[in-house]
Amino acid sequence: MDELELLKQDWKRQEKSLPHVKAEEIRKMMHKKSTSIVKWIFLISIAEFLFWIGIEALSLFDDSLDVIKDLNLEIFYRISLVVNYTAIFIFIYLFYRNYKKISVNDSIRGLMRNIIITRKTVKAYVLFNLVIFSISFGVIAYTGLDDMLGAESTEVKVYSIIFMVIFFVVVLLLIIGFYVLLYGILTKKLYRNYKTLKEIDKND
Amino acid sequence: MNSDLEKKFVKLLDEHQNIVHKICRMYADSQAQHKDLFQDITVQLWKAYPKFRGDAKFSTWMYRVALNTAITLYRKKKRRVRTQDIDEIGFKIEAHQYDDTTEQNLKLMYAAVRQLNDIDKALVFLYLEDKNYTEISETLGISEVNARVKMNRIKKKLRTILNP
Repeated sequence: MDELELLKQDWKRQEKSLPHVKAEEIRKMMHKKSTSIVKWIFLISIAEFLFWIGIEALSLFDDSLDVIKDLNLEIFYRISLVVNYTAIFIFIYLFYRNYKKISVNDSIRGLMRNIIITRKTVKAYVLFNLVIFSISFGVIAYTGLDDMLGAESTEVKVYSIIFMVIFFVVVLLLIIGFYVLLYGILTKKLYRNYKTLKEIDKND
Repeated sequence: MNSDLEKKFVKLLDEHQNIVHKICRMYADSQAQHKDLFQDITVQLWKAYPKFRGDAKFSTWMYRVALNTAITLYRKKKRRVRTQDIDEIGFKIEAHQYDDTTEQNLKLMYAAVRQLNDIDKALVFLYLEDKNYTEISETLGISEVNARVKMNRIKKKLRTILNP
C-alpha cells in the first residue's frame, strides 16, 4: 500500500484522540483579542505615519523657519512642504486601499500578497521620507556650513563636512537597523512562506 | 452583536471543531500553543463570519480561514517547549491495530510531516483530509498542476524517509 494512503487511513483515526472544546468555551474565545500580525503591522504603520507627520509638524513650530529664512532657502522649503504633504495624502490613501484588501477569506497566497503590498506602501513612504530627509539635510548642511565657515580655512571646512557626513550615515544606519530588527521579527515567516509558494508556482 | 448569528456560528464551529484541532496539531509545538492557536482561529473565524456566504460549505470556508491564521496571521508566543508537551500533542497511533513495521513507519511518517515547512504541511494536510486538487490549489492560491507536482515531490520525499 502507498505510504501516504496508510497515513490517510490513520489520519481519520486521529479524530478519536482530538480534544473537544465546549460550546460555552467557544463563545468566550470568540470575543478575545487575536494576536494577528496584521494588527501589529497596522499599528506600526500608523505609528510610522504619525512619526513622520509629527516631524513635519515640529518644523513649523520651532525656530528652524528662521534658520531657513536666514539661509535664503525659503523657496526650497515651500517646495518640499508641498511635496511632503501631497506624498502624505497619496501614501495614506494607498495604505488604506491596500489594507482594506487584506482578507482572511482570501487564498493563502492572496492573503500573503496583500499583506506584503500593504507593507510595501509604508516602506515606500519611509524610503521617500529618508530621501527627502537626506536632500534637506544635505542642502541645509551645505548652505549652513558655507554661511558659518565662510572665513575659516579649507581644512576646517573639510573636517566639518566629514563630521556631518559621518553623523548623517550613523543616523541613517540606526534607522535602517531598527527597521531590519522590527520587521525581521514580524515578517520573516511571512516572506519565507510567500517565497515557498512562489517557487511552487514558478513554472507558470 | 446579533445573538442569532452568534448562536449559529457557535453551533457550526462546535460541529466542525475537529478541523481546527487537526490544523493545531499540525502547526503547534506544544499543548499551550495548540490552545492559543485554537483561540486565534476561533477569533478570526468569528470576525470573518459575516462575510461568509452560504455559497461555499462552512467546512470549506473554515479550512481556508483556519490555515490562513495558522500559517500567516498567528504569532507563536515564545514559550519553553518541554519534551513532555511534544508527547502530549503528538499524533497518537493505536499500536494494537498495526504490526510493528507499520507502526514504526507511521511514526516515521508523522515525524517527517511535522518537519515539513508550513506550505508543504498545508498541502499534506488538505490531501489527508481528502480534498481534491482543485480545492487544494484554490485554498493555497497556486495552479492545480503545480499543486499536483508539489504533492508528488512530497510523496517521493516521504517514501525516501521510509526506504532510505
